[in-house]
Amino acid sequence: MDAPQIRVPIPLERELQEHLAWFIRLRWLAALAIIAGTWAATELAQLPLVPLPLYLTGIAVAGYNLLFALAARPLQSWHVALSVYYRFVYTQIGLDWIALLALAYHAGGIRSPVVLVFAFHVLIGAILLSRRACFLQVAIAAIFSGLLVWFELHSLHYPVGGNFYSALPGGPSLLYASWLALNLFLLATALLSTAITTPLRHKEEALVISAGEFERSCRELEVLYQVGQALGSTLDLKRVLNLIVENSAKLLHHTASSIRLLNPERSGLEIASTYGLSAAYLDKGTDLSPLDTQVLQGQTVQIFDVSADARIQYPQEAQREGIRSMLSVPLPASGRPLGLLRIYSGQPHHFSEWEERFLKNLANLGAIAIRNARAHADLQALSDEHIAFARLTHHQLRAPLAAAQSLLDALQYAGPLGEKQRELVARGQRRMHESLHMINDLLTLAAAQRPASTREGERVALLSALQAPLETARQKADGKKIDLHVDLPPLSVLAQEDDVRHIFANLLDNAVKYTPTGGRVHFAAQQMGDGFIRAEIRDSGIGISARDQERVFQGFYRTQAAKASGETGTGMGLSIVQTLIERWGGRLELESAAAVGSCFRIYLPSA
Amino acid sequence: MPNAKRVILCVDDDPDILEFLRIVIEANNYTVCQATSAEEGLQAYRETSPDLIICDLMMEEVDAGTNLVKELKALGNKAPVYMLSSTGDHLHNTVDAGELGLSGILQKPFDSESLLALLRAKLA
Repeated sequence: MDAPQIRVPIPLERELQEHLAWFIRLRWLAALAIIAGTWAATELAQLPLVPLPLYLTGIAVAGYNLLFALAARPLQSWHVALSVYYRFVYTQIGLDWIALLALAYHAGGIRSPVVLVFAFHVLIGAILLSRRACFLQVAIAAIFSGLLVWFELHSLHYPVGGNFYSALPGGPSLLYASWLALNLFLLATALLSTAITTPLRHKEEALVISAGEFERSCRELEVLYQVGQALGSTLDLKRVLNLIVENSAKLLHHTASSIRLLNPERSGLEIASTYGLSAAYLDKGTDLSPLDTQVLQGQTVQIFDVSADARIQYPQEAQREGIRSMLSVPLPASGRPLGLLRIYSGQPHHFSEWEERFLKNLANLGAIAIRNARAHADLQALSDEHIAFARLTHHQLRAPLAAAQSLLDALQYAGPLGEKQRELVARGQRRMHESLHMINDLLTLAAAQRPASTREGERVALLSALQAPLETARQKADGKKIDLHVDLPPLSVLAQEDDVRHIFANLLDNAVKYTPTGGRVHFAAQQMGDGFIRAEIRDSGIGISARDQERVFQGFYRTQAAKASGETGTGMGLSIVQTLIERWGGRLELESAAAVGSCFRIYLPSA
Repeated sequence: MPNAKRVILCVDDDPDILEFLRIVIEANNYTVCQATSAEEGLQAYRETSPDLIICDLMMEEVDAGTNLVKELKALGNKAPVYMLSSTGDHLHNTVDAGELGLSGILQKPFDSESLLALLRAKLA
C-alpha cells in the first residue's frame, strides 16, 4: 500500500457532512410545501385535483425524512468513509425522485407546473455531486417526465377525478412539446451550473493540496530551524542529534529513527542517538550490514520489506521490533560519510522524494554538528597541551632564577661585602626580579586566555578578596607619602577570587607606582543599576598619552614616561588585567592625560 | 646561645636553595639539617626531631612534598611546617594548608629577611 505522506483533509467530505443537514432541513420544507400547496390548490383555488394521494405524498416525504434525520446524527459523529456518505445521499435522491414522480403524476402530469421542481435536483447535483452525477439527474428527469407522457397517452392517468389539463387543446404533440421544453430547460440548467461549479471545485482541490504542502513545508522549516538553532547555540552534540532523530520520526509520521556513527577504526557503527527503538533491538551489534556499507558509500537506500531484503542483517529482530520499511541516508563528510541517519516505518511504505530530501537535510545538519563537536574537542586538547607546556616551561624557567636570586641574597651572610660589591649584587637581584615577574606575567596571561566556560564563576566579596592587595598598596603608598583614599562598600562580583585579586592588585600597584611622591590615589566601587559593579582607580600620576592608550593593552609595551619613572615593569600587566576582566564578562575603561593622571574603570558582573 | 639548640630541617631537591637556606640560617645560630628528597627528609626527621621544618612542594615527584608532610603528620609531628612553593605552582597543585596542618606557605623566591623574621617569631 502506498500510504500518503501527509493526510490532506478532504473538503468534499466536510462539505457533504454540512450539506446532509441542510438537505434534510430543506426536505421538511418540501413536505410542508406539498401539504400546504395541496390544500391551497384544492380548497382555495378549487382546482380539480384529488387531494388524498398528494397529502399522502407529502406525509411520505416527511416520514422518510424523519428516518434520514435520525440516521444522519450517528453518521456525523462517527468517522465513516466517503462512500458511505455518497450512498446515503443517493438513497435520499432516489426516494425524492419517486416522491416527485408521484407528486407530478397526481398534480396533472407533464403539463403541471410541479415538474419544474425537477430542476432542484439538477442544481443540487451540480453543487454537491460530480458533473457526471448532475447529468445523471437530467437523464432521470427525462425518463420520469417521459413516464408521465406515456401514462397520459395510455390513459393510465388519473383513475380518480380525471385530468383537468386534458381539456386544453393540442393533443399528444403538446405533450411531446412540454416534455422537450422541460428537458431542454433541465439540460441548460445542468450545463450552466456545472460550467460554474466544476472549475470552482478543481480550484478548491488545488487549494487544499497546496495548503497541505504549505503546512508540511512550514513544519519542515520549523524543524530545520530548531535543529539549526541548537546547532548554533550549543556544542552539546547529544542534544542536536536527539533533536534530529526525534523530529525526523515525528514529522514524517514514522515509528522510529536512529543515528549511528562510524567507530574510529571505521569497522563498525556505534549508536549515537535513537528514537522509538527498544534496547533489545539496539543491542544487536555494531557490525556493518550490506545495507550499512551501501549507505556509507554515500547512497540513499530504501528498504520496502525488511523481511525479504537480503541487505538486512537481522530481519527477524527487525520484524519483532515491528519494523516493515526503512530509509537510510549518509551523514556526509568530505571523505567517507561519518555515519548514517535512518527512519523506520511500522507499515510497508515507499518513501517519497520529499521524505528523502527532508531526511538528507537533517543528515547534513547532523554532520555539521558532529564536525563542530570534533573540531572543538581537538582544539580543547590542543589548548590543554599548550597550557600544560606553558606551566612546565614556567617552572623550569623560574626555578634556576629563584635559586640564583636566593644565592645572591645569601651572599651577605657568607662574609663581609664592600660597598661596590653590595651595589652590584643588588642590581643583579633586581634584574632577576624583573625576569621572574615577566615569567609570572606570561603564565598568568596564558591561563587568562583560557575560555571562562571551563571555569565556574563564584561570588567574590571585594572587601575580603582585596584585603591583601590594598594592604600592599597602602604600604607602598605610605613609603611614597601618597594619599591613598579607599571607598569600598561591601560588594560582591561573579568571578574567581584569584582573578579579582590579580586585577586589582595590578591596577592599584600601577597607580601607586606611577604616581610621584606626595600624589593622590583614589579607589572607589559602587553597584550599578545594570547588574554590574563599577570600580574606579584614579591617580595623579604620570598618565598615559592619547596615542599610547590603545597600545598599553596590547602587551609588552611600556610608555616612555613609565620607563623614565625608573620603576620596573614587564609591559604586560594591563593586557593581563583586560583579559581577566573580559573573561568574566566585564570591561575595562581608561581615561587618562599625560602628566595629569589616569583613571581606570573596571566593570564586573555583580553577584 | 639558646638558638644553637634549635634544629631546622630543610628538604629541597634544589642544592642551591638548600645552600641558601643553610648559609642564612646557620649565620643566625640555628642548626640546619638538610635533605634532598622526601625519603631523606623522613629519615632526618626521625634522627633529629627538628624544631621547624621547611619543605619544598615540587620535588622530583609532583606530590613528594605533600606526601612527606602527610607522613610527618601521621608520625605525630608537633613542629611547625612551612612549604616552599613557586608562584604559579598552585595552578596545577592545589595545596590545602589547613588539611595538611601547615603553618604557612613560602613563595619562592623569598628574601632572607622575611625568613629570619619567621624563624625568630616561631622559635622564640
